[in-house]
Amino acid sequence: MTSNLKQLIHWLARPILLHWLLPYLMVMVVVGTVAQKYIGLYDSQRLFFSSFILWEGYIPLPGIRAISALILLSLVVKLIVASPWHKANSGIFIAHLGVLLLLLGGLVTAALSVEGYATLGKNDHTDSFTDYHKRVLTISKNNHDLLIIPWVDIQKNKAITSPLLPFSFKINDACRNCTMALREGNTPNLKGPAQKVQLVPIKHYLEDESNLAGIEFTLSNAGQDADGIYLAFEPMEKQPAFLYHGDSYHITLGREQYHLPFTLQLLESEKEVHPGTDVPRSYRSVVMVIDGKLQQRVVITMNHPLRYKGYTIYQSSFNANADTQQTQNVSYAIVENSGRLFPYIASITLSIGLLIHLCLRLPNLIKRNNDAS
Amino acid sequence: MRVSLAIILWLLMSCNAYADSLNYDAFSKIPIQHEGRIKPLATFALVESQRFHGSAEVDHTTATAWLASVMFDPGNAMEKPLFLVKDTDAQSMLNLPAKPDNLYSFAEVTQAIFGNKTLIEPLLEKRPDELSPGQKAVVQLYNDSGAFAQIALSCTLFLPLSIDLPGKPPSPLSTFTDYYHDLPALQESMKSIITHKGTNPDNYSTDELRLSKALETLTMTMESSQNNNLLRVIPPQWSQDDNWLSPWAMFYGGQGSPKTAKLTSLWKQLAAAYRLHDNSQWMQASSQLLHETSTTPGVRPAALSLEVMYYHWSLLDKSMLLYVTGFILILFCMSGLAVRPVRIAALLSVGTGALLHIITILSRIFILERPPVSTLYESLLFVSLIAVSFGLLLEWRLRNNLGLLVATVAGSVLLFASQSFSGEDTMNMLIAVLNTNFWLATHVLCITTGYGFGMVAGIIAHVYLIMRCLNRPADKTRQVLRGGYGTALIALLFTSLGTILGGIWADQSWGRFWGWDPKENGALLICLWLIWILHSRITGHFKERGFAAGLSLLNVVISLSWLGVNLLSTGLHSYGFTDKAAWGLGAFCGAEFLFVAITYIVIWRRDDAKT
Amino acid sequence: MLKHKKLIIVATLAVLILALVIYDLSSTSLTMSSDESAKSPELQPVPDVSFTKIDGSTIALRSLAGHKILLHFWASWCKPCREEFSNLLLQIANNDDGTILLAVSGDEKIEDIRKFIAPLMRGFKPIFVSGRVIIAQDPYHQLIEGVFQTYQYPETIVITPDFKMSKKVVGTYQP
Repeated sequence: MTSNLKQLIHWLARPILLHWLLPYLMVMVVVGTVAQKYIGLYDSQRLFFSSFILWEGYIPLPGIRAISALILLSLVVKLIVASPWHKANSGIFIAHLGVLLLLLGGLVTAALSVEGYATLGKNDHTDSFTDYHKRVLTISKNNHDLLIIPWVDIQKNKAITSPLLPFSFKINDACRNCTMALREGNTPNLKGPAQKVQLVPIKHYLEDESNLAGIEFTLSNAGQDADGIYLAFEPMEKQPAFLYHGDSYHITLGREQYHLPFTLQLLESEKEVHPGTDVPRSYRSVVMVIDGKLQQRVVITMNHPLRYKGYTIYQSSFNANADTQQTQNVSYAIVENSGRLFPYIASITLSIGLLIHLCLRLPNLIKRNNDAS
Repeated sequence: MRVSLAIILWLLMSCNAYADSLNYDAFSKIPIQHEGRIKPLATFALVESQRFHGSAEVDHTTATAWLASVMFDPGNAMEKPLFLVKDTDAQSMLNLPAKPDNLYSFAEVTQAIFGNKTLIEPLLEKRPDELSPGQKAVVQLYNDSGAFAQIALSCTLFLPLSIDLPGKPPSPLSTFTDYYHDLPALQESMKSIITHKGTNPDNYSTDELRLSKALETLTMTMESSQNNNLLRVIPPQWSQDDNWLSPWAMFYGGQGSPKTAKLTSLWKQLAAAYRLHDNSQWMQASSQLLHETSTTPGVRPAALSLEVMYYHWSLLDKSMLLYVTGFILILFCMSGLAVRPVRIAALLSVGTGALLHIITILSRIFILERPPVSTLYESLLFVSLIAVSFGLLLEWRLRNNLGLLVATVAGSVLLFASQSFSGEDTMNMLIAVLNTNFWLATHVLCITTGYGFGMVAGIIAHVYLIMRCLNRPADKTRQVLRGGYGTALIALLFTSLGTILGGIWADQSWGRFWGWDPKENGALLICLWLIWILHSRITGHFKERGFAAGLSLLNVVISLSWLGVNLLSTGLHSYGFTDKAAWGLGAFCGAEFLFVAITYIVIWRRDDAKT
Repeated sequence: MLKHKKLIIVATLAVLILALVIYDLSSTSLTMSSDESAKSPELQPVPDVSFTKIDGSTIALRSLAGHKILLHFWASWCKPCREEFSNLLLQIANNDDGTILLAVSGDEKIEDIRKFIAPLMRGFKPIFVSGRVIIAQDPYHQLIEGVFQTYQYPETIVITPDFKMSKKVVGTYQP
């Protein structure tokens, strides 16, 4: 190992790193938490908690992910090269291992987990679920998805190029939260609703679920009938569509959809309130899991989700009919998280480590106090 | 207005005002289902009197006695000053006359509300955050008067009714049910009278007038009792659910049974005894009523008795007083005045306070059948008990008054803080996500225990800083700080475990282990703070004074995480929100910062001067 | 030796993690639906009472024990009661499990009861004769209201063969 690398490793294992990283991390957590009140949970998560770099004007600051990654690295290096094994240190060592597993679990979750929702009325069924936040632009040909473009790749004046697209597609404008306004000016070759209205960006709502994304795009080399300027806006019932050489193309802007390897059907739902009050006592729904030949009734209640094929399905909300107050549909949160087990393993490891350390230290502490008194 | 008219009718049969000579022991324990749980009438009375009157006593009588007067003598009760309306805007909006005590009777309030219907109706449609404080007070008064009317009319099913029918002279024992089946015939007769003689009563004969008045009384009684369902004292007889019924709901729902016939008869006897001021009949009826309802599934007579005693004795107030007394005595001790007797007195004071505190919490566990940490108020009680208990343990080990100091400070401060939430505490039922004893027992107990130990560690650090400022010997101060260090380790154990258990609970309920929710971030901050100061102490980056300063500020971190995050009113932990105590919290944090800054600077300069 | 101990711990943990992950991923067993049985209130004992039949004789309720009894409260002036009475009789006639209908009227005048019942007695003679339908009167409501606390005619209490009150139906009786 080169001496530079050795130096780096030993520097990473030094406690002074943690001594300075922790206060910074705490400040970021405080700022991110207070920010939630003003910019909402989603945006504050995006900016503070899930970012590697936080831009304060032109100054780049490390985000919480970067700090966590650094702490993780430091911990790993310390455990490998700078943790002598003594019985007295065993508890601490195991506890640190638990923390390491926790951070690793966080990393796996951040990288691999998929979260979304599905809303079902009685007897409705579904084999897909929708992301809460991610917007995508889907170009489909003859009802098959041809191209799915994530929102991060959608920018003003950007051309979308792909060998799968036989025409030119350019994004004129995009807004993450838009409203409609009457079109001004005399822009030629407008198609569909674009003839009458244009999209205007507005301030993001605190609840990201209320934000409505929209784009204005120009289609060219798609034939005289299809070429023009279009609008794709989330709440629009009719999204842009056109024909090109006999093939039917649809442009849809909406939330990303994920496929479930099984079908879920809602059979019953029941919300119980405490007698004589509106306070909910329990939420219970009965679903049918259909997977090929398998058809099984499963009861889902608060604190008891359904787990199947790596997916976990929770009751997220019971939506009642305003007039009858009867439950109209149930929204389920659906999560696929390969890192789900890490916190369980980490907590067991951490508990064992801390308990061992306490048991080893306690007689000494007591003895010292006895001597002192 | 119809409601108040109905009640005015009861004035005809209302009994004379009298000094309260009835024994309310058994009556206070009669079970009622309210806010989702079975509780004694005494608690219901307390809740409602607090709601209307802002205090547990009404007109120098206990809340229970007041409740009985409203139930059995509604005519008089509606004339007595009851509703506390302090907001002057509300008073002027409703044209209520200014009064020195700001107390208004139901009659005055209903008249004001009826006279300002056009003003009030639009306010009822608005959300609370769209209303000014005066408008909120008006809406509150409107709702409160509705609740009072519910209570006042709840027993009219078995109160004597003054009905004078041709061929059926009035009887002091007749109640509504004696005339209920006459209604169809009376209505038919009245139709015929109107057909022949019109609607002007001047044209009616004496008998026809009697019939008309009787019908009006019966109709008004029926109309005003249609949705009367607040006083749920009748256990379910036939239904599959566990909803108790009010007497009128039982009547209209056809839920009567041989058992309810017995109960109704006892309620009738109770009402009669009240109106005749017959204490022996009153006691007999109330004891029998209590006995009959105590055998209902779901009713725990021991819990009812305990709950009555719990609110009657208010042990927590006494406990807080004992902690404060102990604190004063310890201060005397530490300043060297009459050490031994004063120390014993302090020990007794704190010990007794702790005993009362434990009894309170155990009572709550027994009454509610769940761990005592499901609301902010309960967590304050529990954390203070942990801190006091650990302080006493510390005192047993060290015998140097430090433990007593910690116990009294923690006990007094936290119980004092809990007073701001005690008014809202009616031992409520839990919402669905909290309705799980396992996670309440593990996660919440763990976290609150961690808070307790953390506060103790913080107080010990304060003591260290003060001792250093007062130039106490180094070995003594070092010993104190070692105590703080050990306590901080225990705090870290509990808070980190509690935080992780919280994450696991969130994974089970909401589908994600960690969501950067404010409450979660608060718990994480406590762990990070502890890890930071402990690590820095071990590695030598913090000297003693730095570690002590950091440990002192742990109290600020805990307060902000525990109470402060609720002020943000955002996130999934939406069941602890309150905008109270914001100023108190701010003042506390400010004072702590100032204290730590000043003591640290003093110690730093002294250390520098030494070197 | 030091290195080995560290390795052993890390290896053990790694194996534990792997085992748990494999167990979790391979687990396809779904929670069986646990349909909680509906809560049923405790069955109430039947009061020991006797009714006066329209022929003047009395009948103790207890004498009917061993049969399922429909204790039906009604009145001739009650429109829903009149509308459903023949349906009730039809149910008794079609049911051969020995159910007895004890119909207790709150009418003050016995003539009103007789006037209403007479045609039904002719139409459903066998079940009246066999004693499977009994008509009684409680003109002062001592039993109807005083014991059973019935006010909303029609009301039917179902009494099981082991002489316990199992349920009450308010309004038109549906078995």
